[in-house]
Amino acid sequence: MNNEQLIETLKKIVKPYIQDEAAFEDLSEETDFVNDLKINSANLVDVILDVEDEFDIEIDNDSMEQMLSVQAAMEIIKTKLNQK
Amino acid sequence: MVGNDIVDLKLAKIESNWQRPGFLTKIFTEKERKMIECSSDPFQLVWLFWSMKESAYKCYVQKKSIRFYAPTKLECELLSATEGLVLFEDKTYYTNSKITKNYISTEAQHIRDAKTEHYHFEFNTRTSAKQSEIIRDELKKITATTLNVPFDSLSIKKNSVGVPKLYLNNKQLQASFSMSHHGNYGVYSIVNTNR
Repeated sequence: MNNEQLIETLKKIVKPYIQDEAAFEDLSEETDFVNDLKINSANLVDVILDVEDEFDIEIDNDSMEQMLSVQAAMEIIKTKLNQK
Repeated sequence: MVGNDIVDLKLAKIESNWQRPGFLTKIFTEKERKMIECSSDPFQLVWLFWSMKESAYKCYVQKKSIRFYAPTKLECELLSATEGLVLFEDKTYYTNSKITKNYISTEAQHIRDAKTEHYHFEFNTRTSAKQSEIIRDELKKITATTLNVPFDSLSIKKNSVGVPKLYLNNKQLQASFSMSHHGNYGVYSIVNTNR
């Protein structure tokens, strides 16, 4: 999976939780889940669970701790996929 | 230092499914999960603990300017139905919650019983930006009165980690405050307003 596909998949995952449409339209690697997309922090856990389901990976607590942006999520997903 | 968080209970029911597999283990410690399991109202305890963690986290971020997402690292203890502690690393945060049938609102501080000014809102708009503006305006109003300065000389801007700060004519004030809104409800808390 290349970066573009990864971003597209992430976009699909976060869509139900975003509260800023404009930031969602402009989503890039730099986008922050909370500060930009205004995802409720209680829903971040849903994003993480959905990522686990979608990619069939397990996101441990140390990785989850960093998962605040699209870029961080992409790096974690790539690392976990490589470990499979 | 004060941090707060509010949860609209009706919206929480729709937005989050706390019974979803994995949800509780990603957010709560084993001890907290046991308490939730044994509770007569697990839904309420889930959101009480959540608001305690979130408000303590907001205190921490104000002080340290470091963001992270590690809800299980902050552990809640209840001292009474509405008072509690949140333990994180070597720090203790003291929490006070307000539980109504509509919302749960928590205020966390690093000093026990420090005096705060706080105000709860019930909105007739669901637009997030509009709600945020209403809370900011009220916070500026009360600060203008406390400091005896014109309303328009005050502004609120977020810093690099997304923490809002009060400014008087572009000079940052040392006031610690926190704002939260969710669903139909909002709250601000403020301490130590000095020039």
